[in-house]
Amino acid sequence: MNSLIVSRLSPATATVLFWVAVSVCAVAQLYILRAVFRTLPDAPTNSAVPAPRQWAEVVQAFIPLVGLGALFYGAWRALGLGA
Amino acid sequence: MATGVTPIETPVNSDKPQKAPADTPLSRDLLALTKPRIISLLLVTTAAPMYAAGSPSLWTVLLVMVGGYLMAGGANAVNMYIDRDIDDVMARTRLRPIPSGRMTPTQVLAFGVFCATLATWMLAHFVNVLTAGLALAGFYFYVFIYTRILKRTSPQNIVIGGAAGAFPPLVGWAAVTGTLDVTALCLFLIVFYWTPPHFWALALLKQVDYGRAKVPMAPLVWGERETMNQMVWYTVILLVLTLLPVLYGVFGLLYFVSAVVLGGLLMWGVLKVLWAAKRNEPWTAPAWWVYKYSLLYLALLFVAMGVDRAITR
Repeated sequence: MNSLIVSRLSPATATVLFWVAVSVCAVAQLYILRAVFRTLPDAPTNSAVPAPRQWAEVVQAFIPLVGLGALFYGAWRALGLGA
Repeated sequence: MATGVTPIETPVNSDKPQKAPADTPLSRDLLALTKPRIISLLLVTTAAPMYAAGSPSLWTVLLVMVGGYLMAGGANAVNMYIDRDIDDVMARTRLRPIPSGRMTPTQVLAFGVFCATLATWMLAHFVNVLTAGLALAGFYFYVFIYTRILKRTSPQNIVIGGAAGAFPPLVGWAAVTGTLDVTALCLFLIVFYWTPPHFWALALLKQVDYGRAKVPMAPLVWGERETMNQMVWYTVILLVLTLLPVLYGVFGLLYFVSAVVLGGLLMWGVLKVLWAAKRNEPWTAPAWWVYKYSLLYLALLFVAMGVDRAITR
């Protein structure tokens, strides 16, 4: 851990920044999910393209959450916040 | 078209097929099948993580670059085999080797599979099995999950399908460390969340082409404004993810400054697209800027990672 920045961060600051990062991503991801659900009942704005399958859209919308969750869990451990 | 500005009016020239000489040599067609310009960015996102992960020998870097090129090139060739029907419909792809009749589909498929097989053997034999497995997973993901399943069925095709382009950092990381960790996952997710704003900028500009090919890109299904909103949210997450490794101490000041400046510019560009659309002004120029700048953004961000680790090690 030879970062020029982290060496100056107190554990409290690192904790605050970590939760800010989690919160910002959570809000952005919620807007993404909301948009996916909001557009589900609609037909495509362009009738030339096929309508998406609703269940597949829902599944796909949640997949990135798994990756984000794993990353933040890993970052939490790397920061030593779980200790 | 909410803005009244059709993509056909863009400076992209999307509906004009590129000129190709009638007597194109086979070597040039084979090279074209690999899409070398696209692969160059994949190679940057493979090589930089290698230097971020450790101090690889030049030989290892060279092997991973060649293996990575062959694997990605093979995937691109198989992609052209699967997409040969719509390549004939879309103006910008009409002169590719299959639709132009210079190569048969079977030849292209065989070339793609050969490249991928050679790459797998090279990476497994000279680097390590994890690296070969990850590269092959990227190949299968691109060919089957993206091209075969998602591309023609879902407006989120390049969200989940974008994971295929996120494998190179994992490949580079695994080649040096022989394992994967939280930083490797972070690099994977950086490319994953970079993909939607990048490709949706292009999709906004080429709606006519995609509509003609019946590919349900986000702007054609959700509409332009919703796609632009989504580009903003994906960019927000992307910027947070690029700063996360600094927080837990993997990257230092050089990378931090680079990520803030480069990311700020990307955010500004994406917001300009949205603001222009909201004001009913032409948004094609900022969308084109986002598409081109996002390529530079990813390359410079990853170079900054490698340099940062090299100078602080």
